[in-house]
Amino acid sequence: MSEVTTVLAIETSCDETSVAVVRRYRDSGNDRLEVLSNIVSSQVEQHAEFGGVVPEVASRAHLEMLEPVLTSALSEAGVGRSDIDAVVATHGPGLIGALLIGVSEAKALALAWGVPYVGVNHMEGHLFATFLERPDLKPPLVVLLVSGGHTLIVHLEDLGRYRILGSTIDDAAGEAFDKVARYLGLGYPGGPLVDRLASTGDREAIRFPRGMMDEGLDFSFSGMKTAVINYVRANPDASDADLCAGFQEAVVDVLVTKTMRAAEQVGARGVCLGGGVAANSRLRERFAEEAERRDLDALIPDRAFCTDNAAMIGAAGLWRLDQEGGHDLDGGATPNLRLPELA
Amino acid sequence: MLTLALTSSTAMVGVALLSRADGAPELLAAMGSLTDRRHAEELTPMVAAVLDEGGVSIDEVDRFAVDVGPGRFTGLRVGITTARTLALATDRPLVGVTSLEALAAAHPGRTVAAVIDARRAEVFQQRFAVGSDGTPNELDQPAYGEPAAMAERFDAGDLVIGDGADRYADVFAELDFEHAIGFEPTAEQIGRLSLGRPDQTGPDVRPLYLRDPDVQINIKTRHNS
Ligand SMILES: [Zn+2]
Repeated sequence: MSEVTTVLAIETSCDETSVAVVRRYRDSGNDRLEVLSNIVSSQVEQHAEFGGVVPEVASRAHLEMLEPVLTSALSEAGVGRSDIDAVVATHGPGLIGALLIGVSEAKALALAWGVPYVGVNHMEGHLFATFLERPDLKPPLVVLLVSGGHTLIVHLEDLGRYRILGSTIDDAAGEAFDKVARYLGLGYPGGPLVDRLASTGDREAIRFPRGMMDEGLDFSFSGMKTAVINYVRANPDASDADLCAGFQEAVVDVLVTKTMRAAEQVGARGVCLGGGVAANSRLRERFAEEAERRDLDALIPDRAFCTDNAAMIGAAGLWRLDQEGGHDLDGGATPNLRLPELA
Repeated sequence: MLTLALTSSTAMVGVALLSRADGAPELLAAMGSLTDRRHAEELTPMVAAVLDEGGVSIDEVDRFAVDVGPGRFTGLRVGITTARTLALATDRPLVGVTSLEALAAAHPGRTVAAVIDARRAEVFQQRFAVGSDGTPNELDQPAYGEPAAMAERFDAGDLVIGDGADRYADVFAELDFEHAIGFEPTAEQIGRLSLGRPDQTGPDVRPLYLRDPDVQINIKTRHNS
């Protein structure tokens, strides 16, 4: 007879409104996670005309979507209030006004249903996305977290024990994609647009510099973006497809090379991908190839679990609930919350 | 019938529990706190504390009422999110009441210019003729602008109230308006005004922003790390 724990999870840190129901089955110490529902409502179209996320627009949109996303998550999961053991929400990092919608919603649900509330670190959620598909995966692992706002190589020594091995010194990887897409007039968000165009181009045609390739585990993408701009100025007739393919290849090359280097340095058993840029098709392909060459277990989550979603918050929330119990209802949100790092 | 009312559109966070058995409403419990930026931190525990003080469980509440602004965007969204979620979680109706109405209701028998601080040197404003029973009858539509420009809409006998009236007290004093200082809007006023009104469902109870969002692109803060 397995022990069953079910959480309702809420994610509103940026421009996706998401609610999920995640259930854990525990049999003699072995956990299995099941995502009963994972509803994601993206606001990307509302921000597209501005070419980036507008905080006040994001907050307003989160509130508009409160009831439909919450009720869909419950009905799709086929659960009611009596089935929910805890309510968890992202309480940072992210946009303060947006975070406070999810935190207020979660605390009100916890109060109304008489169950614990747990605040979850968004980045820890990305790390836990891995275990939604592979609960068997065992630390130590090296995780590459790449999105529009962050580029991190994290050493996951054990659950809850993290060390940041590398991060960007300027732009985040996703930000570099957005900027190149904007410069080429492709639109917003840049990542998927560059990815699609790159698939029709020749990635060997134009070779862009690999920023900080031979220096440690930190990243620099600003120079790579500038190299694209300079190339277009000198070669106005260059094909957008080749430019995208060449730029993407350079970014992916640095990301994958440094992640594998980190895995070697710490003696990791496996490598994982997370964050919105992890949906990039070339990154997924190269990541899998290079891991296999090194005989490393590679986990590349389903695209639905790479971009921001509440299921990953539920996975992290279940673990935090075990460790800390519920959090007090006087909790707020922290825009620049850091991943709890080892001293 | 039990009503739980919430306000968080200004620096004041408040919760009130009202009962109406036959006729007159009775205040069972209320709390208020002047907070600057801690609306989300304070509101949920205050709901729990007011229910506790009133000796009722959340499932005994028949109806929720909430201040829909105008006011501070983040603060009023915390209140509306909390009220809409409580209503959904307990399958109860709720009612939205504006901060401007609640301000006016505190001054029966007067004509009132309710003035809420809108930041950036502007105020939200609406005028009411308040009945002797405290019913605020609208004399114009809610508007916003610079305090002196808004004052051109007022009448000589108006009582000027609200955090916008307090902040720009010198502007209104110079124009000879009578000014009343208070901690309105309170949750009790939101609750009392909600009593005679029809039930709404969550998505109907939307913030009265009045002003469009500032458009500042913020790619950097996406994850902030
Ligand atoms: Zn994210």
